Amino acid sequence: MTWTYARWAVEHPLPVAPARHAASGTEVRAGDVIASGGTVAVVRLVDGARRVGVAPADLDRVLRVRPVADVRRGMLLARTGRRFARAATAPIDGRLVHVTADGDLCIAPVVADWRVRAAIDGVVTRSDAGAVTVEGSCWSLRGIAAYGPDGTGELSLAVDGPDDGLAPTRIDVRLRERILVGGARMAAEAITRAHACGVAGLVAGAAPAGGLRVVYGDDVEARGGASFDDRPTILCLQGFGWGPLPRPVWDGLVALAGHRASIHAASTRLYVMAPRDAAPEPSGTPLLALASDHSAVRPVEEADAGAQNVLPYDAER
Amino acid sequence: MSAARALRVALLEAQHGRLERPTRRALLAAGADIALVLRPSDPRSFGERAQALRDARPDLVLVPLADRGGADELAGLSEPLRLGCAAQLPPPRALVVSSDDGAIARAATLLAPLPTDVLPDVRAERGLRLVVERMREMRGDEQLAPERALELLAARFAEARGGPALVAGVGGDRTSLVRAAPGEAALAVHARPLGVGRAADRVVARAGLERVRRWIPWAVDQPTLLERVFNRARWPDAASSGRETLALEIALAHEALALALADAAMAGLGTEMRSARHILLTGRLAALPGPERSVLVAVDALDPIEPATIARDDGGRLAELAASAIAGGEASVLDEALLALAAPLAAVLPVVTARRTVVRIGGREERVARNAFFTVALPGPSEVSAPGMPPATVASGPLGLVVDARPRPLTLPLRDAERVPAVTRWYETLGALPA
Repeated sequence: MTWTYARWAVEHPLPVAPARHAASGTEVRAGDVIASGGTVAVVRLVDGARRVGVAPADLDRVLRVRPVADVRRGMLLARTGRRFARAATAPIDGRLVHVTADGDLCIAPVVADWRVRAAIDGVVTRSDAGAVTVEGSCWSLRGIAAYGPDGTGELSLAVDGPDDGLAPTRIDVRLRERILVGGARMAAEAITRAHACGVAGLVAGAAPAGGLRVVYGDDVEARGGASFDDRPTILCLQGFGWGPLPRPVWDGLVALAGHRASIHAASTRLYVMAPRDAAPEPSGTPLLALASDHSAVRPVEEADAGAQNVLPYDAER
Repeated sequence: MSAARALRVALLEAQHGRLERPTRRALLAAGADIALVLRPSDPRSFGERAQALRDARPDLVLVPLADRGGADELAGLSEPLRLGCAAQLPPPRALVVSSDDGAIARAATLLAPLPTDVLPDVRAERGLRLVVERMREMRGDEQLAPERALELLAARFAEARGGPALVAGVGGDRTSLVRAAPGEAALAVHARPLGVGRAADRVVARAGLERVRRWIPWAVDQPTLLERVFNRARWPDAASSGRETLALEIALAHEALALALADAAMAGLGTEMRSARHILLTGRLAALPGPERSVLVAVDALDPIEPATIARDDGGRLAELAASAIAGGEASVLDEALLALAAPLAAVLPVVTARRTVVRIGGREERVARNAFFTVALPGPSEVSAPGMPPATVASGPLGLVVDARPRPLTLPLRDAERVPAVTRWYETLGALPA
């Protein structure tokens, strides 16, 4: 299948040391912040258990602050005794991110904040320091590689047909906070321009692999790469180079344009928050063929089903 | 070759340099995917280390320790691990590999609350075997079947030929080198993810795009090549139907084998892997159209250091029979098939010379200049010898004896105007140029 309306459980992996994450059972909308924290880089190690004279296993009993919490310089972190008190205090403003096995306390200066936003409307069903999972019903379309952080916005067509490439000239700041549909190809120029204009994300059949290196660095991989930093968000639906979209995929994008959508990079999926009857249920699965020189992936007719390098759109890849 | 997910291992090398070789040997023998290596000298900050471990999502954290000093160094690695992976579901298992009680006790404290197992020092043969077995247990029989089949195939091939044998297989996401000798335990290197299909992009990531490009016998720009590699990596079992894609598959196979050999060298097995009298090619390497292409890749990438006879497993029949033999517990069919199917295709005579030298081929002398690369037709099994190596009898098969006096490691000019004629000459020597 291409487009599917179903109940999805979307797992949002979190960076290390989240300061806050939504509680299980919370109702969220796509784009809502479900977790936040600060980027942890260098940490200051503070004597904890040794300083207050307890075994590392007993430190938790005397801690005044628990990970992950903001601390101010001089703030009491742990304390024992009454008249002859022994105390550990924070040496800097920052965040207590971790307690070591030896009972030392790791304080990290807060250099940058991050936020993770819900990819779909739904209910939080799991929430811990590792991930937040949201379950909800919506339309979804699977791609093969997504890059950058998750992006949420209104789904908008930026090309006239499934065979068109996304022209950078069609992107401007009026399209900010939207998910743009780019047809058969989104080149590096279009990706960087869209990011500069505040576009939430791009979806297209393909992106040039060389262009991805320019945008995301030389270590970019074919399987995609979710990240939390400020980079363009893109979803390649079929492959790399050139990828004209099959008609059922394009028809779904046209029908669902105008609804809220999100690109969830970890699952390489596009989610569209629209009612089930907003788009026709696709019948059958289109076929894709890898070009003989491997430079493009294009739709083919059903008659080519048994041919070399031909797969259904939803084949495990 | 299987596309199943490999065992993802994070390696905490608290004592880098002391245990590196046996640890690598164990990881390669087990076919593990080394997702991350952390050392005390790692320039990343505490938070970056923790994030790297979280992103790696390891199934297993391997902690080799030589002594208590290593356990003391471990704290700088174990705390990022606890921060990064404490919330992982399911949590990774930690495997402490040490025979030092003090080190084990300290490591157990540092790695809590991760589930932790302890095995003996990996430098001892028993420890190495147990570590490999534990990692293989974690992978499961189904995933291991293709690798076990190659190991059995190598053992039976060595028995059948009566000498050291190497089975070299390149698959979609795994590249294997298995060396066996009669009466000896097989040495296995299963490098993952590394191959000409699903892991094609990883070959480029490790080797560099230019190193892959250099094997293409015509001018091709890097962005075009990268496009093809990426599409190939996301297209399971992509078949090479055109000239461009066949050349790409040959280029990827070259680098995948070279990287596996480099991994073997890091594990202290480089010389053993290069010194086998009989080489059997299998997997996608053996499925290349035309045996001359398989032989070219083997000669270029395996860099043999003694005369060797090369055969290939057409259609993967021998690997299939080896898998059946493991399932059925009976290897006689495989032994018969080895006699019938593993016919020699070519032989290779490596020659190391500063300027020119004389080699003996079947009783006659041949002058060989540095950088020479040519074939000689041989009527049947013949004795060959070159300076610095003992005489050996090789069977050349239809492609003849490949005399290879190219300086190693093989280097090619960067400019296409110089590179293309040089690499084309190598292809043409064996008639392997994609048409």
